[in-house]
Amino acid sequence: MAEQQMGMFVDTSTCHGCKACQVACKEWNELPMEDEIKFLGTSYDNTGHLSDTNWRHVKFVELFSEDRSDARWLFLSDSCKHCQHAGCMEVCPTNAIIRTEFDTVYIDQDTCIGCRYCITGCPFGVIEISHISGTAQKCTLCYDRLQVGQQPACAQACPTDCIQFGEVSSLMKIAEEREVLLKNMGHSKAQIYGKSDILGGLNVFYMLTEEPKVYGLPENPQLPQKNMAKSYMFSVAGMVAAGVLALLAFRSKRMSQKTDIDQDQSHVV
Amino acid sequence: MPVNPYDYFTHQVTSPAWHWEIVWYFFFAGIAAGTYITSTIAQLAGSKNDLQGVIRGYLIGFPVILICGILLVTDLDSPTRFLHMLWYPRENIPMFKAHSPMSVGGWVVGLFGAFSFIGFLYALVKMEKIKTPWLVKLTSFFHESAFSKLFLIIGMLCGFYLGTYTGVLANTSQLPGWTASPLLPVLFLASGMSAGMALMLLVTPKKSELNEYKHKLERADKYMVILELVALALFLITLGQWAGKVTTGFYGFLLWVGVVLIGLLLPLLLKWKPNLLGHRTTLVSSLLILVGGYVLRYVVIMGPQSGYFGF
Repeated sequence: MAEQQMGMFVDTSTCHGCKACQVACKEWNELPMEDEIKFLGTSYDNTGHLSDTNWRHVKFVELFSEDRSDARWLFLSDSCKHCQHAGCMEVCPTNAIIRTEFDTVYIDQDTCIGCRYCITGCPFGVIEISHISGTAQKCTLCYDRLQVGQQPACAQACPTDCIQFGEVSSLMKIAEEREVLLKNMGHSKAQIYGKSDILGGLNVFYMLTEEPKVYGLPENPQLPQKNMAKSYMFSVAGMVAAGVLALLAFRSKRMSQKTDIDQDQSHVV
Repeated sequence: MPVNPYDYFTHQVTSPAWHWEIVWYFFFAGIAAGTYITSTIAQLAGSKNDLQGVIRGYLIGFPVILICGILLVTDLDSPTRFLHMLWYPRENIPMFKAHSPMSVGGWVVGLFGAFSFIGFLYALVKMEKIKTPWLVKLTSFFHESAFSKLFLIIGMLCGFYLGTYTGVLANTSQLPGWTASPLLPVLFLASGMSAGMALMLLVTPKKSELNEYKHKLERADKYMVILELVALALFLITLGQWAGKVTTGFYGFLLWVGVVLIGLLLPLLLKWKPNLLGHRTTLVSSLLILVGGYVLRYVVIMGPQSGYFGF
């Protein structure tokens, strides 16, 4: 168990999509620009998604009515969730993904071999391989800043305080109070995303005002290992089937060849 | 509230962008496993006359698993650190995670390499290419002594793991097309076995004393093609809503033409009607099976990755 369980509470209801957090993250972590700035063609957001050079990304969720007379924008400052049950950590074959003393999930850049298996293990699409370092990259929750008692760069830069950093249990209390308030204000779908029902709890959790799927968040993310037992079970069944069939093919004649000539097989040309 | 017209990141999954090295690795791993398993089964259960053919099977496994190793290392984005898969440098201890199929797979590739290397040496000894006395004794101990049955069975189990774990690897991921069906390991095993047997048929010379062995190998290969057909049908059914990733469009074309028609149905027809192409029947059907085995892996690895970020 970590010394302290540190994390973030991201209240999407107060985020106004300024991307200050995204810029602060890039600046502090010295993350390079993408090759070019381009329009996605589908959104005013020009980043698209989290990547090896974008450890934080403000999602623009643009909602329009059928006749486009009504429009609504939702914003979600997205990053690694530092899950209690982290899929990336589970599958990593080299122990390059570790849990820090702050209970955050950290990629040891000296141990990572760039096998990409962690990418398949993350249900949130957080990790990507850097073409520069050849290793997996994602938000570290500014581990270097935490070690000297500072808060992550994104939380410090946020002008609306929608990103709050601190002890997870304290943040959860704030979030629960906020949920009640939002519901009283008429946001009937207000909900906390990242309590213990989601992968044992997310150290970076969210206040949403719509269903998770509207933000592109999985409703019920699972550890990749959930399929492993079944997969191995079918593997054994396959081994038995293939083994028996091969055995049948090679044994059947043998029975009728019991009197087969025992010719010298000591060497074969 | 209205829906998002842009289908905004409805499934937030990133593709690992596994490319050609992994497809070839999966293909060669299947062949290495298939040839070794078939050889050990034939040595354990076949007649003495089969040995001439069996040793040619042992000749294939080791070089192929070497190619697999090279592909695995070159596929890494930090290939110089490939030993981290087996050794944890932070604590200087062996690196093994039972719940990570890739970690177990790394060890099994190494272990299988050892078994197949001894099989390879045994074949060379039997062909009188190696005459060093201690090597002759050593390979005879592993392949002909009272201990040999245990050795061959353990080696065969390693081969079985190698032939199936690539499917488990894909199953333990978040990509829907890889996780939806637990039959992926069975499909890969059947395909690897049939491709391995096809390759063994190709390297078995035309000799009257090997006719019986070839006949058995042809029959075993026919069984594997049928098993693969059944496994493929069940795989596609169990994929459910994600079946479209491999059954439609470009990947669908490859699946129906490259795998089902060229890789399975035509070879099956040739095995049932061995006189259809005269003496070339075995050659053609084996080549078709090998092509089908590769295309199957290409479709299953690439199809479900398409349409996600990073690809």
